Formats: sequence, structure tokens, C-alpha cells
Amino acid sequence: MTAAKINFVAQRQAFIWLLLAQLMTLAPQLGVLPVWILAVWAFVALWYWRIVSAGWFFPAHWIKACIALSILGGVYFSFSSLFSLEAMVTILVLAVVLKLLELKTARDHWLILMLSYFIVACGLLFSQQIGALIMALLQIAVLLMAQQALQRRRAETLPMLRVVAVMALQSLPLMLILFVLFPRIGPLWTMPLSDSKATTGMSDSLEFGDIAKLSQSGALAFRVRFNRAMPAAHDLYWRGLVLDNFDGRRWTRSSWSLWSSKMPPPVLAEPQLNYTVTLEPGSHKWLYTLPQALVSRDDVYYSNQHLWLPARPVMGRLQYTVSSNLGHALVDNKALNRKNLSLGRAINPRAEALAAQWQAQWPDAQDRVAAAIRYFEKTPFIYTLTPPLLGESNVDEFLFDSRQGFCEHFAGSFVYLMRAAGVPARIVVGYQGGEFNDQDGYLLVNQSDAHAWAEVYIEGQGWLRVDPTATVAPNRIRLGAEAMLRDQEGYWGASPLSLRNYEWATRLRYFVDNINYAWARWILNYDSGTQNDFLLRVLGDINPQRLMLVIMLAGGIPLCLVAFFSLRLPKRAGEDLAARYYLASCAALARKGVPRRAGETPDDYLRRIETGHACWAAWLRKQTHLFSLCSYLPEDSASYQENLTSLKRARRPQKWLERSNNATGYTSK
Amino acid sequence: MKNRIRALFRRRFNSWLDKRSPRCSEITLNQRRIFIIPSSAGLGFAIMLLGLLLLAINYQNNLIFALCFWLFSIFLVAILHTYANLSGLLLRAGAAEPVFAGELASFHLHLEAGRRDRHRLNVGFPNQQMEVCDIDAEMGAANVIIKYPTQKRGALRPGRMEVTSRYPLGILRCWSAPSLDWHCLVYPRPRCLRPLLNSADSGEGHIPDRSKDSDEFSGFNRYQAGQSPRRIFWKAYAKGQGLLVKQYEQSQANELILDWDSLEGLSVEERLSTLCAWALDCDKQGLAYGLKLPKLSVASGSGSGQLSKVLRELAVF
Repeated sequence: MTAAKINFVAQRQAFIWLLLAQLMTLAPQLGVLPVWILAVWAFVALWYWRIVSAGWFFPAHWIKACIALSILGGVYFSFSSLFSLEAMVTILVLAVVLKLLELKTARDHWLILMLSYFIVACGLLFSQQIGALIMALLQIAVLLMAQQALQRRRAETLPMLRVVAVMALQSLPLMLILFVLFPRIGPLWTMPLSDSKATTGMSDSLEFGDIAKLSQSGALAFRVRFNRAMPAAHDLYWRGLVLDNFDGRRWTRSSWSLWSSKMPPPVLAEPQLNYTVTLEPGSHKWLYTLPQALVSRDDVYYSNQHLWLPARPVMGRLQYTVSSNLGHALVDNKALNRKNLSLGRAINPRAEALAAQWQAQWPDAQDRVAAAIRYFEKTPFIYTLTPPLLGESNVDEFLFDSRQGFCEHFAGSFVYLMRAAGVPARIVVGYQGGEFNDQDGYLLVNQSDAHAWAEVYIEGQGWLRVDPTATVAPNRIRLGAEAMLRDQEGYWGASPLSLRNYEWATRLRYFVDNINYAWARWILNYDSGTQNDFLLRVLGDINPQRLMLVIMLAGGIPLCLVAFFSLRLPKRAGEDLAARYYLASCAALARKGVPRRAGETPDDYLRRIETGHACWAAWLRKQTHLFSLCSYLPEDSASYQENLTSLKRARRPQKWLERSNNATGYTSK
Repeated sequence: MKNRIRALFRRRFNSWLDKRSPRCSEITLNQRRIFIIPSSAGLGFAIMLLGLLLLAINYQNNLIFALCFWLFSIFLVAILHTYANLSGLLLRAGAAEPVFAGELASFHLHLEAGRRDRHRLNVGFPNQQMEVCDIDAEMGAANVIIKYPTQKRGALRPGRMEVTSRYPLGILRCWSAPSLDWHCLVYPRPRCLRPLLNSADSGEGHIPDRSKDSDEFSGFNRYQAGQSPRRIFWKAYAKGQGLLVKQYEQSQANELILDWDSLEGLSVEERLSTLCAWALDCDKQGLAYGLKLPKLSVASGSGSGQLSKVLRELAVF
């Protein structure tokens, strides 16, 4: 097959649309793509435009090679990798842009358009909000128009848009059917994941100041819907990760915790709490649950320390159902507990002296914990989002000098003191509390609810939760982060103009969030489980016959209707209906064997019938009379309509005869 | 081997097509005559859809699923739109002026849109230059001239023509191969292989010389359409006496007959080509001439009427 060379002059408008389509493809994705891509596009588009309009040359091979290499370098510089999802999408976008410099045949033109569709789809990997879908639909519309521009003499925007809109609406029913029925199978192979640096969220290590930083974000972390009544606010500790490895400054997950038993502890039947958590899009490497939990999902496994992790990081939204029992202590592999005493390389002599004093004073671990809590109660600590920076001995400086800190300062120092005093302790990070949307009855957990607390091991009881922040700032736990932090500088809702200060704004925010939640629950999380439930509810039973029937009915009928309405030729303007029905009458008579001859007037024809075929004469006389009446009456008069109706009704002689026989009992001759 | 299979397939398909849509002078395209297949761009579109599906499955992304299914549905709906662009189109065979063998024959095609806009219709004969035409619903009709190469003299009946369209998205190719009842007369290719001889001079013939006034001038006549403009008496026209033609009385002995038998030693086609060239030459010079073929002869005459009469006989010989 030889590729047809492009005629640049004839297809100028198609090129304008192609450039527009490219711009439309890449501009909305600038949040993911590096910004310099716009400059590359502008440069290439300008060059290409000169080729089209002023007869410039196509670049030589070595120039193209240089451009390609420098662009690969640029991508590597921007993402420090060529194989992350963002980098790969960027390379794809650049390939589509640079293809302009060798656009010589119609096939190149098509290649650019087809890859552009693919890029639009890739954009949906990074954002799946309603807004992103609307943007993708706009992009697709422009692409479809660019595709049409090749098939029209003049690429006028409005007629092309009209065709796109018509086709989009016509294809909607079939699309919905396919969306509902297409089997949702698991991934066929692993794909590169997005590096999550762009999204806010909890990280798997903790240093003083990390959570304070996170708390300043207004983003949503996840939503929870409880099957029964929601537990009290002070019980809503959403466990995310356990950080038990301390290097003196930074808390991380210990690697040994990965080896131990993977059997989840049984969750007691009573009192059980069931709820569904929907995590906002991001790269999810762990789940948030209330302790103690059992997650029912195939691709999620139990790690010890009562944590639940997905088998592989999950991109996008993640929804899971949890059964929890709140009143149950956490029991772990005992061998691990002793590792939770390490103090790393930290040097905090004052804190260690205090801990040694407790250790000497209280032989019982439980008493030491109580002493530490009392210490946090008595000392005048200040709970603040903007604590001062701390030096090398940060625990000492916090506990004895600055005494200003956020939850991670309290939790970190508490665990440090406990470990120094010989009580196994560890940090837990996650979220605490949440904001109840009373319009639709679910809990919104924001990034500002991020929290860190401590767990201590008491022989015979297991791991117990201790939240030193609760002793310092009880309102943080009782009223939630928002109420507590509203007046603090740096809190995202604190500015006087913030809409959080108004009741109606809160209502509106809840309403919008309802829509987003419904979107996430019904559209984004439509998976094989939901599909099964839905089909069972609608069809009663899932078997191939019923599915085929549904596809046939729901997919076929709309298509047939579309076919019927789009293929029928539009009615001729100003068509003479009277003539149409009269001709139909003549045709009916022709089937009886007496056709009207070419050029025969209605009167001549009637005369011929009257002489030769008397049985039809009365009928034809009436029809001819009605026809001539209709031809001369004004079309908007009532008698015209009346005559036309009777002309139409009587256009089959056989039926007319039968009807008049029945009516009068008289045979017309 | 591949070509033979292709030829076999084409023969089978054409005979099936002949049954399905026989030759006629006017044809309305409908579902019996319109075929739709994905174009190469359509195959690209399908591959792209497959890519989207894999992307959606591997990332478990419902929005990409939705996008993929939507584009797929548009693909299906586009079948109807592409079909609608051809359906109801009326094609009528127009005239075709006679041409000389080796030239491109021009066939006039009348297209009626049938109250619907028609976009980018490609009309033409297979493997020939396609003409592109658009028809607005308001204009309603268009005339297109499509070309067909000629090789042999005689009555030319071009095979099936092709109407194709890829509107609106270019991913489907909708085509019809109506067989229109077209005739075109193809004259022999003019090739003067022998000098023109006067048959009356039995071998030593010559072209009668106008300056020697070999024909006897016999008076004037009113000009009639079809007469050679060379004979118009322009001086009279300048004086406002209307168009007059000079009339020459040709003696029987001087009558110029383009004779088949004078061309011995040439093949049939060569003789016809030579006679054709002679006739054109005579017409150019405004001479009266006749034609003598083995079974048929054309009486002497001149003007465009005579020329076409003579050329027709040569074409259908």
C-alpha cells in the first residue's frame, strides 16, 4: 500500500484543526507534564506552519535525532526516570508533537490523531474527578472535529460540532450497556505506576513537623460509610502504619515486621462494626482501618501489627469493606516486642534521665506509662501547628525547652521516653476523627485530620493505645482538628475569608461532596463485585442467555431507532399531500389491473374507468372529486383538512367498498 | 498466485454485483447497492480502541473503560452516518462526447442529493482519477465529469463506476459500484500513414488546390448551422447582409473520396487510422469529401455534420 502524499494547500484547514487538537490534548495535562512541553509544541507548530504556508523544508534526519535526544534528556531531567508513568506519558506526548516535523502523508496525520486519543485516556490515569472527565470529553470532541475536518470541504466549527454532538448522543445507550456489562477482570500485567509526589498524603516515615505540614492541606483523604451508628469521636483512630524503627531522628517501618505471621487475628463477632472506606485517588500502599479489623478483599493482605496492605500499590481510588471490633486489645508476635525498645543513635540525656527515674521508681510497666501521661498533663505544653525548629537533641529540646509541638512531637517524645524507661512502644500514624456529612450520613476524613499517636506494650494485655496529644489538647480529639485548629495561624481554614466560616458554604461543600462520593462509589469503583450485585438485582440471574438478551434489547433497539431516524430522507418541503394520496389511489387501482396511462388527466382516467370498469367508478369518482377540491382549497382551511383525511382514508378501493357495504348494506355499482 | 486469486475473487464479485445491480441509466443508491468496510484509518482506530481497553483493564480505570466504549459506540454509529451520506443519492448517466482512441473520454454524471447534504463524494472509475464533489441540500444537484481512458476505437461502454465516501470520521469507507448505461463513441486514433490521394485520379491523386479554383463557384447560399465557417463570405457579413456561404459546384471528377481500397498493404486498424487522419485534414481545409469502405460508403459533403458521420462509420467499422 502506498501512502498518499498530502496536498498541503487543499488540506490547510485540516492542519489548523490538527494543531488545535494537539494543543487541546496537551494543555489540560500540564499539571502532570512538564511546562516546557508547551514551548516545544509552540516551536514545532510554528515550524510546521511555515512548512505548510511558506514552503519551508522538513528538518533533516540529524536535526530530528538531535531534537529527540535533547527531549529525552529533558524528560529525564524533569522526572529523574524514563520509566515512571508520568515520564512515559510525557514521552508519548512529545512523540506526537514531534511527529509534525515529518507529517508528509495522510497516514502520519491519522497516526497523530489516534495517539492523541490515547493521550487523552492516559490523562484519566492521573485524575478521575468529574471535572477531569468533562475535560476529557471536550478533548475528544475536538479530536473528533479534527478528524472530520479531513472529510469536509470547509471545516466549519458549528456543523462539525453538531455532528459530534449527534453521534455522541446516539452512541450513549450502547456505551452505557457496554460499561455495565463488560466483565471487569484483573490486570493482565503490571504497569508502571505514578510516583505519588504530586499528591498529598501520609508518607511511610515520620519526622517532627511532617504531620503539621500535612495538616495544612485542605484535601480529602477518605470517606467512610458506617452500616450502623458511628462510634464516638474519641474512638475514631484510623490506623495507617506502625513506625517502630527509630534511627535517632526519623521513624520508619521496620523491615523485620514484614517477615512475621500473616494470619489475621480473629475479629470477635460482638460488638462488631461494619463500614466501607473509599480512599481518594493516589498511590495507595496501605489501608486505614479502626483497630482491630478484618478487610474482605482479595488483593489486600494482612501484615502483622494489625495492618492491612494491598498486594501491590493501588492507583486511583480504593474502596474496601471492613469489620472491626473496637474494644479488643491488639496482640502481636511476642518476639517482636523487644525490638521496640531501641533508641537509635539519638542523644537526649535529659529525657533519658527522666525515663531512668521512672524505671527506678515504678517496677510495673503500667505505672511507668501512667507516670508519663501524668508528666504530659502537668507540663505546660502548647499544641501548635507552627512549632519552632529543633536541633540535634530534638526530644530534649521539645520536652524541656520549647514545649511547643504538634501531635508527632508528643507521640514521638512519649514513645522515646517509654522506650528509655524500658517499656516497648511504637508510633502509629493515620488519621483521627473526621467530619460528619449529615446530608448523606457519611464521614469525611481530611488530610488535616492526620494524626500520630503511641502504642505501648503491656505484658498480659497486648498493645494499648496512648495518645499524649489527647492529654495536652483534649479538644483535638473531642471536637476534631478543625475546631481545635481553626484559630491557629497556618491552618488552611483559618483565613478570615475562608468559606469554612459560613454555614451555607458548609452546606454547599457537603452537597458537592455528596456528588463526588456518589461518583466515586458508583462510577469509579464499579468493579466485578458491584457489577455482580447490580446485575443480580436487575436481571435476577446472570446467565449468557439473559446477558445476550439485554445486549440485544438495550443495545440493539437504540441503534435501530438511530438508524431509522438518521437514514430516512427528510421530507420534501411543500409536498402536495393531496397529489400523494391521489397517486396512491391510482397505484391501488393499477394493482387491480387498470393503471392510469402516462399523460392521462384525472378526468380522462375517471371516464375510462366509468366505461370499462364500473365497479371502481363510484370510488374513483369520489377520490377524484376530493383531489380536485383539495387542490383548490386553501391549505389552512378546515374543509381542506377534512377532505384530505377522507381522501387519505379511502385510498384503497377494496377497503372502501367493504366499509361502505358495512355502513349502508348497499353495494355500490 | 496472489494475483490470480485476487482476479478470481474480483470476477466472482463482479458477477454477483451484476445480478444485484444491473446496468441502467439512472440509479438511486440504497442498501442493496451500498457497501461499508472500515478504511485503513478505521483499522488504526480499532487498534487504538484495543489499546484503550488494555489500559483500562490494567489500571482498572472505569473512566477509560467508559471512554473506550464510547468511542467504540461512535464507531458503530458512524456506520450509519457514513451510509447516510450515500444513501438516497441519485446518479444519472449524462452524455459523453466522442473522443479519439488514446484520449480520455469524458462522461457527464448528474448527481441529485435528495434533500440531504452530501460531503466529499469521490466519483470516478476504478483505478482512475477520482473527482471530489460536495452537494448542498439547497443546491440539490451537481454535474461532474469523470474521465475514462480509451484504447480501442468503437463504442465504449465503461464498466462500473465507483462512488465512495468516508464522511464523517474517515474511519469507514462506504462505496457503491453502480453500472450506468453510458455510451461513448471512440474514433480511431488519427495516424496519417499514407498521403491523401484523390481516387478519381487513379493513383496520382492530389489535394485539390483552392487557389487554382478547381471547383466551380456557383453562387451564394444562406449559411446553415453545420457548414464550414471557411466558406462564409465575410465581406457580405461586414456589409450587413447576413451570413452567406460560397457555393462551389464540384464536378464529379473532382469529388474527393477517402477510399479504403487505396490503402493496400496496411492492416485494418492502420487503414482506419489513416482514413481518420484524412477526414480530419479535409475538414480542416474545408473540403467536401466522401468515404468509401468495403461495404458502405458515405456521400460527399462537408462541415462538422459530415465529419462526425464519417468518423462514426470509421469508429464502428
